[in-house]
Amino acid sequence: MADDPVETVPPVRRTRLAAVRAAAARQVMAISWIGVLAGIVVIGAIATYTAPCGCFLTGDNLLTTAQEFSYIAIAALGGAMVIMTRGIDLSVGANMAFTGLITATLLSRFHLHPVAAVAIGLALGLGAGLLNGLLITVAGMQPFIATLGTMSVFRGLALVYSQGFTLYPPASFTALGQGHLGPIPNPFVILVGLTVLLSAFLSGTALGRHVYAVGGNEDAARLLGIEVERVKVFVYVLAGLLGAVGGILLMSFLGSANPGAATGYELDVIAAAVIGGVSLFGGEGTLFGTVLGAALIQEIQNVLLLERVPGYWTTLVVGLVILGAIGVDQVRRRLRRT
Amino acid sequence: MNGEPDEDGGGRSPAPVLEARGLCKSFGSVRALIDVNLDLYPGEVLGLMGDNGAGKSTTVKILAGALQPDAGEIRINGRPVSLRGPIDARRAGIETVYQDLAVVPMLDVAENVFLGREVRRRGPLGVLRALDKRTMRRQAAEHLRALNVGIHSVRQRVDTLSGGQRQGVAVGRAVAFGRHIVIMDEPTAALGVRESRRVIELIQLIRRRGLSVILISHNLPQVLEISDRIMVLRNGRRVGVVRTAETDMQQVVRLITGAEVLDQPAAQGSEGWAGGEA
Ligand SMILES: Nc1ncnc2c1ncn2[C@@H]1O[C@H](COP(=O)(O)OP(=O)(O)OP(=O)(O)O)[C@@H](O)[C@H]1O
Ligand SMILES: [Mg+2]
Repeated sequence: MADDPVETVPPVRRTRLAAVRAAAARQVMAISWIGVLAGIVVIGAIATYTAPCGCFLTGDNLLTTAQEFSYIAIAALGGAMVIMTRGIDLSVGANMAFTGLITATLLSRFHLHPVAAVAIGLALGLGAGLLNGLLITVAGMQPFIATLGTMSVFRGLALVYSQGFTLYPPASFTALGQGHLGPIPNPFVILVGLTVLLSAFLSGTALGRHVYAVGGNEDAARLLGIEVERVKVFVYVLAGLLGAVGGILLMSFLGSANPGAATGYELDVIAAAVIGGVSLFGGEGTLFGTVLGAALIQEIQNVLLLERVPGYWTTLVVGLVILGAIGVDQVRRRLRRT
Repeated sequence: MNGEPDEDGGGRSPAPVLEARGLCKSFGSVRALIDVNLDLYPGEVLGLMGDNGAGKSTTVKILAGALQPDAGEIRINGRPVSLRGPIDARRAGIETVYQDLAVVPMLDVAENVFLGREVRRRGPLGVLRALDKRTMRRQAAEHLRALNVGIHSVRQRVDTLSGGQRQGVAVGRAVAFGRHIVIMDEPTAALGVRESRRVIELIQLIRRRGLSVILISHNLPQVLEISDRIMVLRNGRRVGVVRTAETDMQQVVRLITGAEVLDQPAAQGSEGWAGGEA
């Protein structure tokens, strides 16, 4: 430890410049998403030259890939903030299915105006997040347990409400998820916008910094007068809302609303965050990294497909990447301690 | 009357900056504090001593607003205050360096100094108002430079700092904002010789600025060196308050171990307010 009196009096006095340089090196190392970005570039480069179709680096392929990972990435923005507070949200996949399904139903059965239907869907997602937040703070449940419960509740509501049937929403709704802004798919545009907005919020506002403080040292946050419970409720509400955004866009893109949709997405969300450098121990990570993490997962799936590797391999490879990311996180934490 | 100034504060200003009367606190069946009185005079360092579990940290947390007493009253400059949360205590001018420091490792130095009282830019957005990071960094750097705790950059993450530097951040935060009282719960427990020395110098600096300090420490020579008075707790009760100039290590050890008791439990409860009504 640095408390050792021998260590505190080094034989050679470090100059100020050297100290600043060491701090700069630490800062670079602290940028958790650099490895992910490197991974995306390297895999992309390999695929560009080896994919039999020669089609990895084409606008078509890249834009389709961007479209496909946007839903999970949007939900992962919320999931990442929850994990930053040292929580977890297992209910987000079910939330996506539930909110997407209700929105589609309001359109196809009740012929609501698309804006009204989407607003109600978003409000439901917000309510779902509020329920999670209150179970965790007011009722004092462990996040894992509480959201495991609400995961079943939300999925169950979707199943009960739809009686298990798939709904086909009108074209007024599918335009949202299938449309483009110029050549860029709408969901990706929304993802970029939300990422910029929420990143600014996290780094530039007191509440945003408190998200990190609560995850980094909850006791300290409380002693310093931060309303820890409020911060937690806030991130779960945000996660619920962003889950609804992802769910509505997904159903809209698919052109069908199925109560079994987005099954297992909660794990993809967690994987994206962890690969992107959000520490499961809380207090650490960025939304940009999370989006890169989601992009890397999608890229791996895309490349394996282009390389004609059987689909079963995807899960295995993504699993190894997750383990690698957790390993990197652990090494990083150990390096900081010294 | 068994008033404190006559007993052990004679020759001082008669108006304490902080008075606590009859503090009680239980955790389930554990009686952590029983009818404890405490006075703190302007510009003095009060050493608070006692064995592990004597109730020192509990006392500190009550004065810092982090715990609510079951009974008892607190006055600051003669006025009764109710400290319902850490924010209330800060508003009353009490700053605390907690035993476990209360820093967030992943945030940088300036963010830690201003945590919970961030400076925001003006604007209509309420809680979403942007932080004024430049002002916070500048002020944090000024405070820390004045304390000379060896922190080069306020943008450095706290988990990259040494134990002594982290202590510097926690102390710097308390000194920067404390208006009347700084409470330090074992500020040197985790530090090496040189870094402990630095904290002692800081305490003297705080006193010179006219603030009062409550110092909790197990380090008897250190407390004897810098305190004006020493208060000893044992099993949740106050067993005595002595003037440092009039005591020695043997007596304090006797108080801590229970071999000597100065305060009579019956008399403690009837002790009046030391200061005049404000
Ligand atoms: N949150 C709590 N819940 C239950 N018991 C507690 C709690 N906090 C303190 N106690 C108990 O109250 C008593 C006093 O504890 P306190 O932390 O005030 O002691 P201390 O004098 O600071 O000891 P140390 O020198 O070990 O820091 C102890 O018996 C402790 O176990
Ligand atoms: Mg203690």
